[in-house]
Amino acid sequence: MSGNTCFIHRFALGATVLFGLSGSVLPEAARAQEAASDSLRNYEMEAVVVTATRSPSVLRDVPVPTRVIPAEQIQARAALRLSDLLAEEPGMVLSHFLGTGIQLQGLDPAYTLILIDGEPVIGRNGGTLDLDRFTITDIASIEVVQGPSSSLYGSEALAGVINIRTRQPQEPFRALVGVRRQTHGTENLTASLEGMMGRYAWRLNADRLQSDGYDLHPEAPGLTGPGYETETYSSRFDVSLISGLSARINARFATEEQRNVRGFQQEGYAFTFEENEQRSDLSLSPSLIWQAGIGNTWTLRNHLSDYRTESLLSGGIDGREPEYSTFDQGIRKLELQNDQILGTWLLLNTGAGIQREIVEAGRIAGVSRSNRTSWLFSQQQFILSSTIDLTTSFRIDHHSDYGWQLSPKAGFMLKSRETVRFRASVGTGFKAPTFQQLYMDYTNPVAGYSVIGSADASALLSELESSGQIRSVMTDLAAFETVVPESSVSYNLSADTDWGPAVHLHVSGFRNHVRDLIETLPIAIKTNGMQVFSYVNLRRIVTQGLNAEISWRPSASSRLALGYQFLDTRDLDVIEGIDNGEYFGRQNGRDFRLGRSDYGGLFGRSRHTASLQFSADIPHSSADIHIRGALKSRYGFGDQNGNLILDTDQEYVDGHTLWNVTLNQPLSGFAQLQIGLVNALDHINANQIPSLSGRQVFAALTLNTR
Amino acid sequence: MKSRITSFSMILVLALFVTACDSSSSNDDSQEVIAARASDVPSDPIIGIGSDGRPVGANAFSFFSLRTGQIVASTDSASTGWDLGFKGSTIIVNGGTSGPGNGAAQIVDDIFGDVMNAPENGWIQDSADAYAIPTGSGNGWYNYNFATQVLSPIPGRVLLVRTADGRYAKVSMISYYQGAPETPTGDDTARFLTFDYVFQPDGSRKFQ
Repeated sequence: MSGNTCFIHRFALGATVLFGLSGSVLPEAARAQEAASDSLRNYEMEAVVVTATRSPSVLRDVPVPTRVIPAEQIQARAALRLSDLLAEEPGMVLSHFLGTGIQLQGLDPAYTLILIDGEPVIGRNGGTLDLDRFTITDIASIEVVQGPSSSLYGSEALAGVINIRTRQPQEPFRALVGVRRQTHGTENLTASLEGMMGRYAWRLNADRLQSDGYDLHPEAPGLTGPGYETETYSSRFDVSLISGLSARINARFATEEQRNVRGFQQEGYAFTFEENEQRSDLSLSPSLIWQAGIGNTWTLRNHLSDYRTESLLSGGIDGREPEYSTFDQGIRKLELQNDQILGTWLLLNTGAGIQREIVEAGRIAGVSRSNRTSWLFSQQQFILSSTIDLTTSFRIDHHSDYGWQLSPKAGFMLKSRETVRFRASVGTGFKAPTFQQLYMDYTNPVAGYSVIGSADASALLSELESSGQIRSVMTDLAAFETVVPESSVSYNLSADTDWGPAVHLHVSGFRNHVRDLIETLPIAIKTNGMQVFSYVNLRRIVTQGLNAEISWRPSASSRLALGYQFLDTRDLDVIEGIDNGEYFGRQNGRDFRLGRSDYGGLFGRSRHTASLQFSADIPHSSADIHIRGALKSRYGFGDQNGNLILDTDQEYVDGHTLWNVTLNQPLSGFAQLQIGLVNALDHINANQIPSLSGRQVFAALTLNTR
Repeated sequence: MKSRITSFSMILVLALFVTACDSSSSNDDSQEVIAARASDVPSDPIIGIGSDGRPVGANAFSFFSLRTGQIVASTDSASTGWDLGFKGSTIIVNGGTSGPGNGAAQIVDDIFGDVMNAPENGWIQDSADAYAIPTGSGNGWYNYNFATQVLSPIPGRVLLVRTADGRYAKVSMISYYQGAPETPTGDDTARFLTFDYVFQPDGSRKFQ
């Protein structure tokens, strides 16, 4: 294929997506036709993806390595929530801290941007977006882009981007009802309606998920995993206006309630609290798409989102006032993007936007704070020849609290032969400081410390000093600055190839240098002896590793995919300290100096992870089975011996493998029965992995008009 | 008669020699270094729940003498009879603003057994601004892990102490919990300190 036709072919597919509202040949329909053909079993490589370049591209040729979890896989595996689904994918590790998040390339969940239909999801707690919040009934596919993507998406897209694409209406009319029951009194009811009439297409979804929770420690008060009730409503409305102009509006509302009794020990005394927490999430995303001409598209996107939590903490000691706290976060975002083809050799994507973010919480200094971000991004995809693509991009952000941020990226792709692709990129990413780090002031009078947000710290300290309340300062107040974003430089290299029609191989390596990680540090002592902490950009970490994946499709309906990741992580200041002889271990009361080989890297990261996904039809029946296994080698749990780093064997959680099995049986054409096991081998580690409740069994029945 | 006086005198002289050679009672030079472990020294242990709902102790220091290896009654706190005071995780010395003695301290990062001498300089006495052994997690002798709620001594931290009467000692903190469990948890009874120490009674800075 010459560069010309290849390019037009690629763009034509992209244009088809943009014109998809008219109901003409859709990529999904084309894929279904190809699936029947034996000669192109790797049809999944022909899927159209949008996340990596903020514009449509065929998966095989996308300049940035992207993984797609397609609709059939999502539907066949019958995972309960988004977190359960992603945990089965190679290279993705679940972490459970203040919510269930995803580690990509060994980086904290705070460094992965989560999008729904291209718009960011808000409501992070300590940096973690709790993926337990999302049910999967309205998801069409999930695109995962690994590697820094701040040059397109800005903050948080440091490790990568996960884009949850919701289902686009495809049938003139479809109604679907589903019911599922699972261990621990878990029940999920779903209803979905979609339709297309002339120039309109619409979809409505309602989902209710509830659970009684589970208890791994019956002797302790409360449940290990509290019960909850979640309701999610989502809708999508597409309308094709005058020729070339179309509009879309996505709306989503989710609410969750959780109730639990919690207890903890302090200095040998036990306390119990009753906790009642409610969170709600509302978002509205209208957009306007204008096809100005062949190869020229304008998109205007508006996104309004509100996230709110309310919690009531009561109990403890008799007569103590219940503690009620609320947290409210909202964003108002407007973005304009232009996609243009210049000649036959350049695809240009440019965008600009503004965003206002408001946060209101009891512990925020001044109760309500807001900030404004504006940005400009530009991406140039050069088709240098039929075999070489060069993609460069950059984004400039300006934030009202910490100023400018520039995020450049460059990558190239080499196509040798029809199915072989080599990709290499170097790029930067950044993560903005959180509200807590910028604005939150908190004082614990009993424990004797205060934490003040960095945005106000300098001014507040000067004020305290002039009123004589500071006894001593540990830092030069004049030099004390508001924290800046954590940033990274990353290198990614990968190779993809088909081995015959049925096998696809992927090998990749990555290295991320992240610096300016924000830590709390004491900055002053008040005259009453209280320590004052604030936030400082301090740490530097490196994560690096290798991935290998092989997927084999002996027939259109069977599939075996194996994945493996090797990961090495380290804190550079700890390495320096170890080299200087500043770190010690203690064994049987004797201290000894630690060497590099004693250091286990960052907590919560497994050196080796592997995944297996197997799908097959069951012979002599119409049923199919899907088996998934995810292996994690041992990982650091927490410091035990007082040196604050991961070194001794007692500080690790044992490695383990989790298996999930789903069996699907279609019933009479419009219904399907699914039964399965989650954590089939009943792996439990009550002390170190409270999120694993043991083996769960489920059964689900789906009815749809077809 | 003469031979009896001679033998008696010889015995007397001999006795004089023997008694004169006994020099240990008035001079400390030949005393050995004291190396011991103090176990479960109370450090303002919890006695109840305060009005704010948190556990509290009597809010009083316990006093300890490194020479005798014993707790000193608090009525003697205004004396030079104690060397270290303990309250919770705070350690004070008998010097500066904390007591009438000549006590001081400094911290060094090293293996306890490898610290051969106390340094000549760098001694800090407790002051109104800060204690010689700093308070706060990570600053002094311990790290407090918020996740597990366990307070652990920092391995490789050695506390060098100058006692109330100007002698030298080195201290290595072992545990904050009663019974010094190998892997403490939030359930263990806190505020009972266990520590190893080496005290040099002869006034030199050598720990051998």
